[in-house]
Formats: sequence, C-alpha cells, structure tokens
Amino acid sequence: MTGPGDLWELSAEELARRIRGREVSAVAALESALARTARVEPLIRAYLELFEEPARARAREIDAQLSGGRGMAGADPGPLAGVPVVLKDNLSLAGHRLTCASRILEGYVAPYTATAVQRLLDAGAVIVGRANMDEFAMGSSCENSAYHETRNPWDVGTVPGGSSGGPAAAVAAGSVALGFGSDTGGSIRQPAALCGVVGVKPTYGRVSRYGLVAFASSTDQIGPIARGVRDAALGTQVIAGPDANDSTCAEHPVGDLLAAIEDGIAGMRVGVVREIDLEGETAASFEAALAALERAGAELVPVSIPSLGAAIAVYYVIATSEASANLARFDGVRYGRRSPAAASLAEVYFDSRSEGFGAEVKRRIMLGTFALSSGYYEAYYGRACAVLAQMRGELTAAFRLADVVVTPTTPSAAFRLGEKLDDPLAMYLSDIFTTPASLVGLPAVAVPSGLDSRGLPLSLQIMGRPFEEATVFRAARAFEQQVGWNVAPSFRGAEAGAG
Amino acid sequence: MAGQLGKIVDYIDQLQRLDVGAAGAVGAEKPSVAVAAAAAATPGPPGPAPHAAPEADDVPRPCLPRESFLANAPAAQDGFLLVPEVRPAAPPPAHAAPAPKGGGQ
Repeated sequence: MTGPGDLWELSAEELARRIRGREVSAVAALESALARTARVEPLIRAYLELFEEPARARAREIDAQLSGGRGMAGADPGPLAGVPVVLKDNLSLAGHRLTCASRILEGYVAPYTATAVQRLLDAGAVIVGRANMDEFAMGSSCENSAYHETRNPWDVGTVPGGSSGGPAAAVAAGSVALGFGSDTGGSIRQPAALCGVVGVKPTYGRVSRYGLVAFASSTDQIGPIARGVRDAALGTQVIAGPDANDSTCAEHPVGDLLAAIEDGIAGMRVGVVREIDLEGETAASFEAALAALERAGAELVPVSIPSLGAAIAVYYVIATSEASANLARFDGVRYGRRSPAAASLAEVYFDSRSEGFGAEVKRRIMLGTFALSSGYYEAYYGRACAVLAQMRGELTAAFRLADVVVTPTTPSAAFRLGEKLDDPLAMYLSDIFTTPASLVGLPAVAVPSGLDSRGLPLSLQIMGRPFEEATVFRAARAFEQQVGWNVAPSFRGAEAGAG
Repeated sequence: MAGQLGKIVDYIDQLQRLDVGAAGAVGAEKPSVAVAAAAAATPGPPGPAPHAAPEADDVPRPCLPRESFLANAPAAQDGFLLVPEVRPAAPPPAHAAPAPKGGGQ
C-alpha cells in the first residue's frame, strides 16, 4: 500500500483515479511530489522555477471541487485530477514567467495560456513549475540553457538530453508523473531516451501550437513525457484536438488513445529500416528490441529509407531557416530584455540580440539566414526541400508495407556533460533517428529498451502513420511489457543518493 | 564560431551530391505543405485531406487588451512602444568639414 509520502511513485493514471475516488487528496499528492522534488532537485536541477504556492492553492481547489461542500455532490475535475505536472519553459501559462531558458526573455510574463496547457488545467492537472531546456529548444543536452545545466538522474555526470532535458529529468527522478515539452527534431524523444522514460512526438497538427514559443513552425509539436506508455497516451489524449487559434491544428478526430492500448501486437507488421548502421551496444540493444517485438507476435518486415543519412542535413537547413525568421521578433522593442547600453534604435536591435542570445541560438540564426539568402537559397533551402520530398516518398512507401516503423531513438546512451559542447555537429548527429518523423510530420514514441553496460538507458523509437497515435501506443505498450521496464534511476555520481 | 559554422556548412553540402530525381526540382515541396502531404501518406480513398482545418470565418474576434501586451515591453508610453531615436542627437563626426563661415559667393 502506497503511503501518503510515496504518492509520487504512482502513475498519473493511478494517482488521478485515487484522487477522483477521494482515496487521497490532491493536496497530499502535491506535497509528496514537492517533497520528492526537494530531495532530487539539488542533484539534477531540472527546474527553472517551482510554483509551490500557486500549486498548493490549485490542489486545494481540486479537493474542494471534488468534495462539493454544503452537502452538494462533488464535481469531477477530469482525467488528470490533482496530478502534478511540469511544463517546459517555452509553454505559456498566463501570469507566470516564461524565458525559453534565454536571457533575452528575462522578466517576460506570459499574457495568455497555451491551448495545450489550458487543456491540462481543464483536465484537473496541477502545474508545479517551469522546467529547464536548451535555449529556444536548440540543443540536445540541456547545456545550452542560459541559466544552468540539468543533469541526468541515472548518472549526474551525464546530460539528460535536450532540448526538453528539464521535463525528462524531472519525470525520471520522480518529481512529477507527467511532463510536457516540445519536439522539433527530437527534443522530446531524445531526452526521454537518455533519461529512461517515455516521450511522445504527436503527428504534426495533432496538438495546437498556440502558446508554444515558435522555433521551426513546420515541425514543432507539443507532447508528453511519462514513466510509462499508458500515462504518455493519457497525456497526449488530454492535449490533442482541433483549436481555432492554430490553423495548422487538424480537425482529424483524436479517438480514445487508451481504448485498444492493451490489445497487443499479434500480426502487426513492424518495419525495420535497412539503412540503419549501428555499432556496439546500441546494435545489440536494437536486435534485442526486435526479438522482443517478435515474441509479442509482431511480424518484422524490412523497409528502406535511403535518404535517412541526409536527414540531419535537411533538418538543420529547414529548421534553422524557419528559426531565423521566427526569432526575428526578439528585438528588445516589444518584450523581453533591452540592452541598457543601447542609445539608438539600431543599437537596441543589435545590442539586445548580441547580449540576449547564447552561442547556439546565434549559430542557428546565422545558418538559417545564410540558407535563405539570395544566391544560396536554391542550393540550400531549395535542395533541402527536394530531399525532404524524397524522404516523404520513402516513408510513405515504407508505411504501405508496415503498420509501424522502428529505429533506435538515439545512436548512444547519455554522453558526459561537456563532451559535445565544443562540437555542434557531433551534437546535431544525436538527432539522426528522430529528425525524419519531425520533417515528415509522423507520430513517434520513444520507449525505454534496457540499459547499456554503464547502466544508462537505451531506447526504441516507434513511428506511425499520420494520426495513428493509437497504433503507435499499442505497439509501445506491448514492447514496454516485454522489456519489463522500471524507471529507477540511481543518481550515480551524486554525493548522497536519492534512492 | 566561424570554424564551427564552416564545418556545419561542409556537412550540409552533402545535399548537393544526392540524386533526388524528379523531386530535385527546386521548390518541389515546401515544409508548409507538410500536413497535406502527411495526409497523403495515409492509405485511403483520394480526396481532400481528412483533417484539413476549415477556413475560419473572416470576422474579427476579441483579443487580449493592449495593456496586457505592453506590460512586457521594455518601455512604453501612451499606449505605444517607446524606443530611442532612430538617429540619436550626436555631435557632428570629427571628419565632417566645418560649416563655411562668411565667405559666400
């Protein structure tokens, strides 16, 4: 029996069930999460800000709603009733600060709430804080935050991945059962993989981007990070669906993502990409994952994506091009930080951006500006779009043969802090397997697949056809059960374990 | 930074060497059509994308009050954003020729 202090260990689904059934209170659930957070946060530094008092007020409100009062029957707050959740610091929550882990947004307070965040609130969630990230979601290690780095709970000398490293580390460490991030080229799946948790990049258009600070508008999607596949499906269910405030958000019905999640994968055709070139432990782990899928009844079919090797090049042209336009709005005039030294309007622009953006953001703005510039546009942006068209054709063909397509989520487990900081290209290559689903707009889920010899998590990526999240979750759930995964990070390297 | 950018551009240059066949025509596809093309990947009868968002009615909708946006501005005055002068008042540059005195024609 879970005691009041151990409520943080429960899944979001089970916690909400007990709170809705009034077996435990939302306040008790929150206090357990905050106590766990106080214990692990000094080791991993996943948060930029904790909303402790607003969260307590909100938990009391949920409890009051459930109890009704004055003899009235209580109202149901929803499927995430009283569940503590964390938001990546690029998701707007009205009245709270939002920085994208950048100096240029210091002091910015969100004037409105993102649609996905409003849906979490409408489902009864309790938002406990803003989590760290790579600045403007640009990075794969969470080391590009302007504020501090976040550490991986499995080994605090390694990175948690990025850019949603804060939410992934917080969920893996047991601070909260559900985190929400954004994924542009792998920014949910890659940190989920490195932290040994489940991460979801929904179909492009499945979740509204209203209130998400834009990085690359043609691939940005909001998605959940959870300790298990069922919670990941629940988190996706809550935030998905059409939104009048985002014209790229699809009308396509969401359906019940949990209804068939336990139905297994007997007879499901699982595509295995021929062009994957793996070495060492990742290769062995991937082979073991394929064997597990076969044991669960899946039929493995070879599929071919010859352009896979060009995915990083295509992604870094298209995403930086879009970023160079999207980040033009941070000019020291309308919001955020203005350089105190600026004496003219030109200096406001130049100095505010020079002082406000970190090195990786500047690097990508310059790359994107270059790729779109007169004389180079056709050679870079135009060419990237042509290769993307080819990649889309290859994936479309693959999904005629297979119901889902699998790859490792990352080429390796978590790397050491600082290891790739001076070599941006090496950092970019962490995204080799995650960028195709982003570029083509497909749903993809990262599921833990085991540990390497250093005791660090590895992960399987399962991609699906557009809007077929339910199929992807069914496969992910079957795989999770085969692996028998338990999220129990050891906090190796920390002076005092958090166990 | 210049060295890193050079290395990245060299890497991206692999795109020039790929044979992209019919898709190679410049502008064959732009990411802005990602949603429609993604729908095309879904097996089923041809036709409009099943999830295409309907066109919104062209009518004004309420938006947040001006004050809530200006609250985030580094400087604002009378409901407008305030910035330094485009060309600040400054002494004439040292190399400028002094105005002619007297003389005239």
